Order: sequence, then C-alpha cells, then structure tokens
Amino acid sequence: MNDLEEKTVTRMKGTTVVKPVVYGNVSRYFGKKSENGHTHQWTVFVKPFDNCCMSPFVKKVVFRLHADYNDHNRTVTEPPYEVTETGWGEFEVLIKIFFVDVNEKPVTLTHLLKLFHTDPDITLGKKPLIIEHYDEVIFQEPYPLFHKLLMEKKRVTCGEYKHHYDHETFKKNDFEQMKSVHKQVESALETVRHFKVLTARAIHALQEHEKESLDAMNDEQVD
Amino acid sequence: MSTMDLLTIEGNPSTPDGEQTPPVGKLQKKMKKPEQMARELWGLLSTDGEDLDYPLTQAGTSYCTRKMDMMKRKVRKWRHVQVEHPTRKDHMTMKCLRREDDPGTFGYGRFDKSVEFLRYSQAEYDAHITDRDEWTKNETDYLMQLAVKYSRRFVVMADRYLMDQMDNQSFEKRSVDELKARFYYIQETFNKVRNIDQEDECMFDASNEERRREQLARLLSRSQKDIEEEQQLENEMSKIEARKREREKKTQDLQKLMTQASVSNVSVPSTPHTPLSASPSKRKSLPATPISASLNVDGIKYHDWSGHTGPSVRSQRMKLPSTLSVKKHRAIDCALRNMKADTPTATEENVELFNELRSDIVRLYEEALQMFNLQYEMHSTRISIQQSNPSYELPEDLKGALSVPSIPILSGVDLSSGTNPTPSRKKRAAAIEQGNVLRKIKQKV
Repeated sequence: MNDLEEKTVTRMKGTTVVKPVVYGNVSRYFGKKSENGHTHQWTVFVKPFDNCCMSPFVKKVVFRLHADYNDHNRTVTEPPYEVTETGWGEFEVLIKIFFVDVNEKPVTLTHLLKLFHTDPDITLGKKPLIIEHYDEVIFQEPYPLFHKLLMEKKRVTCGEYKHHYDHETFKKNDFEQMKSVHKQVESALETVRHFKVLTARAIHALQEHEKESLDAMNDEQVD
Repeated sequence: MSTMDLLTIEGNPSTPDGEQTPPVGKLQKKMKKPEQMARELWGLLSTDGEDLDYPLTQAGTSYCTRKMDMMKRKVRKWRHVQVEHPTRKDHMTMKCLRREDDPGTFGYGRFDKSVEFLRYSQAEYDAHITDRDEWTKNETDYLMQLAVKYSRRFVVMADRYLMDQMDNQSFEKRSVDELKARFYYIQETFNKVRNIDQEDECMFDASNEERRREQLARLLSRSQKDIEEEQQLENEMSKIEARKREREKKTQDLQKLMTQASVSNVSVPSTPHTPLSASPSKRKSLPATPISASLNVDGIKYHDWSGHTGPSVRSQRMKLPSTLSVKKHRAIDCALRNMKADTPTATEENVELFNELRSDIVRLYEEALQMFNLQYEMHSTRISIQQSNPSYELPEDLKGALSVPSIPILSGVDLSSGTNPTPSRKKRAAAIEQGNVLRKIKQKV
C-alpha cells in the first residue's frame, strides 16, 4: 500500500462517504463457575451493517480489553473483526479501527461489554445475550485513492452477517419518537415564552400603577 | 568496534595490526596473556583461562606502547648509483642513494604525466565533429599540438597561442576558456566514438565557467562599503519580511473575529439575560405576537463538524460540548427521562434532530428560569401595592399572569430562583429596563 502513503494528491473537497457499522457483544452463561472464576463466554465484534466487506479500507481493528486480561490489546487484521474470551465481569471495550490510508486517523468506538440480563432464560444460560449498536463511520474529504477503496463493493466472504436486531426499524422509530418529543418541547417552549411576556407586561402595569399613586400622593401633599 | 577488531584484540593482543588472525573457534577457547602485561594483573583478570567478556585494549593499539627494539643487527648497505629518468628521452642519467637490495629506477619518475596526443583522421573529423562554426580543422590541429607541447596547461597555451604559430598560420587570439571548451569538446567526442572510458573525463561548460568567473570577480571586487551596504540591505529585507508576516497574521485574526461576530449576530440577536431587548426592528411585532425570535435564548453550541476532514464516528456528533454547565446537563437528562426519550440510533437525521431537541430543552430551561424570576418580581410588586391599596387588581387581560403554567417536561428540574442567583439589584435594573421597553412599545402603538 505504498502508493497510498504518498501525499501527491489533495483531499476530495465536498466528498463524504458514510460506512454504517454494527458493533456489540454476544455472551452466554456457562451455567456454573469454572475453576478460574469465569462465568461467561463472550464475543465482542464490529461488522459492516450493509454486508459490504470492510477489509478493502480497514487495515486492522484493535480491541482493548480490560487490563486484567493478558495481552489485552487484541489486534484483528482480517474479517471477521471479533474477539472471543471468557470472563466474569462487565467492562468497557475500546474498539479502535485503523484504516488502510495512513493519513487517516483511526476512529474509536466504545462498547460496554454486557454479560448480565434480567431475562431468566438468559440468566440461566439457555439463551445468549446479544447487544448491538448501530453507528456510522463518516469519511469526510478522503484522498482519491482511499475513496476508490471505500467505494469498492465487495461482498463479505466469511458468510453474510445476520443482525440480531432490526436496525432499520429502530432508525425509523427513533426518528418518529424524536419528532414527537421535539414537538412537545416546542409547544412547552411556546407556552413558557408566552407566559414570560405576559408576566413582564403585568410587572410593567404594576409599576405604572405604583408610579401614578406616588404622583397622586405628591400632588395631595403639594395641595 | 567491529567483531573482527574485537576478535583480533582478544585473540592476539600483542600483535593487533597486520599479523595473521587465528581461526575464530580456536581463539575463543583460550586467551593468552598479552605481551608485557604483568603476570599479577593477568591473574586478576583471567581465571583458569576463561574468556573475558570485554576487550582488554582498544582497536589498533596494544596493551601498552611497544618498547623500541634495540636488538643489534647488521646495518643494511646503501650505494650511490646512477639511474635513468624513465620519462626523459635524452638518456640523461642521475645519481642517487639506493639500498643495496633495491635495483630500482628513478622513483620520482612516476609523478611525471605525459599527455598523449589525440589523433584523428580527416574523415573522422568530418564525420563526428559537428561544431565547426568557430574553429577550422587546422586551428583544431594546432590546438591539439599545443596541448601536447604544454601538457594541457591552458593558461600557458593561451599565452603562447600567437607566438607558436607557423608562418603560414594566422589564427586569432583565443581566451583560456575558448581553448578549454574546444579541447574538451574534441576529446569528449572522440572518446565517445571510440568507446574509451577516460577517468579524468572533464565536462567543461564554457558559459558556466564564464559566469562563475564573472561572479567571483564581482564578489572579490567588492569594497568594504559595498559589503556594509549589502549587509544593511539584508537586514532591511528580513525586517520587511517579518513585518509582512505580522501584518498577514493580524488580518487573519481580524477576519476570524469578523466571521465569529457575524455568526453570533445571526444566531443570537439578543443577549440571553435581557429577555426584552430594545432591538428596534422587533418593537413593532412584540405586542401583537409576544413570542418573537428576538427573545430566543441560546441553545447548545455543538462542535462544528463541517470543516472536519478524515474519518469520524456519527455518534460522536451527539456529544454535548464540555462547556455546557452541569445544571443544563442535569436539565437535559431530566427532561429526556420525563419524555422517555433515549439516545437514538445514530443516523444523520436522528443525530440532527436529537441535537436540536436538546438545544430546545436548554432553551426551555433558560426561558422557564427567566419566567420564574419575573413571576417573583411581579408578585413582590403586587403585594407591596396591595398593602397600600387592597382593592387594586391587575387589569383583566393581564390576570393570566397569575396562574403559573406547569411544565411537565421539566418536572424534577430545580427551577427555583436560587438556582439562577441574580443579585436583586441587577434584577431590579433588568425589570426597569423591561418597563422602559414596554413603555416605548406602547407609545408606538
């Protein structure tokens, strides 16, 4: 990839490429405690949302686990980008994605590894616990060569990813909810503003009255 | 220090230079005591012939300076012999001292360099020499002869150029550079043709040489005054440059300030803490539609991502700026909880809407604070009036101000005036100012 390291070309003005990704973890309870105290097996992952392979533009993904794990920076250079481990506690996993173009800084996603849930089936280990987050990596004004790599539409080779949640519906629902909530806030804002002005005018009226009565008193005294 | 040096020293410290180095395997097994090292010292350093893991001496020197070898030997004999100078054609002999076993010739003869005559036929000349404008073949031949005669000493050649001419020759005077240029041109051409790889090949660029000489002459002919003047000019130049840079920086700063000012002018027409500003354009619209854009308080100023280059994560754009106060943070959290709204899936429109939503929550919070402050003000004034005149009541159209609306979105948010401690003097001033504004409005209407 030496050709990408050369800064012979400038960034593409006004070009933005958005790559949706899904990241999260799957975990399952053993059903008992193992000798080393571990209770769950888990896999933390990051995968493309649209099943377009990320390997053309992703150099490597580094998963930073809790410092108690030996070799806690796990580097994955090939898809699937995931780390499977066993453990007993929840912690924050830093997922750092490095890109093929060395000029582009890596981006970091943080994921709180979830092991425990209130669902009895999950608690007993009958069903795995699955947590997924949808996010988007935005490439603003990439270099042309990198842009070419970003636009490469390669199907994932290691089997299609099936997302456990319907993120499309989530997106729509979230949008609708945001809209309705926003309306509530706007109407409340309107009410408050209206009332604020009303109060201000009331204060003014009161002050006018105060002044008039003072004037009247003064007049009386003069008389 | 290279490994070889090290081995040499360790293995054979007494003879570090020149002598045959023993094979590597052998010398690593056992080390000998260096010559002239005291036995006692060696005993301290080495036990049972084990290897030392450090060198005893530095490269190139032995353990200590060698003493002069004063062995008595027979002195070698020298003779006074006649030798012939190898490069002289006239068989001149000279006498010099020689060692008996050295038959030798005259040693300094090797410093003599004779110039070979560059020979070429008429046909060769015609075929390869293309540059014939300035020089004729005859003159070129003459130049070659001179080159041999004076061993390419071009200065001498130029000097003798007119004098050495035969009677039938009448060449013009040439400069040193011209001679050089022609000579090297001819030499280079024929070397190329004959595929001779000459070591002392000289690329002579006459015009460059000329310029170089000119430049050098100018440099050397500068007077002290000129030098001083030049120094002065250089100083001035650097000063001008510095000033220019400073000016550019200043204009940049100014531009930045101007853009900032214009941006804040657009987004914040009035300061947030004086809710009823006397902005003339808004006066008219105020009584008819009391909720006017000029009353807007600031929302949240998010990080501006439009100028960003390179990759970023969408959810990062939902991050609240670190400058946001803790109270506002709390208000946002509380309001979102009240409305059961959570951080949405990070799509572009969701992020935008969510940011706008939180901005509006902050506005609502600010407006509510101001409203409650005004309420407090109003009630205190009303009570003081009613003390002297119990029958007084607000006009009918303003009675609505007495029933405080509930804001369910902000329930749980601390909105008491204590959270927004405005000194009463300031509040008073603000209220008077509002009164003034309202009076003006009334006059207009």
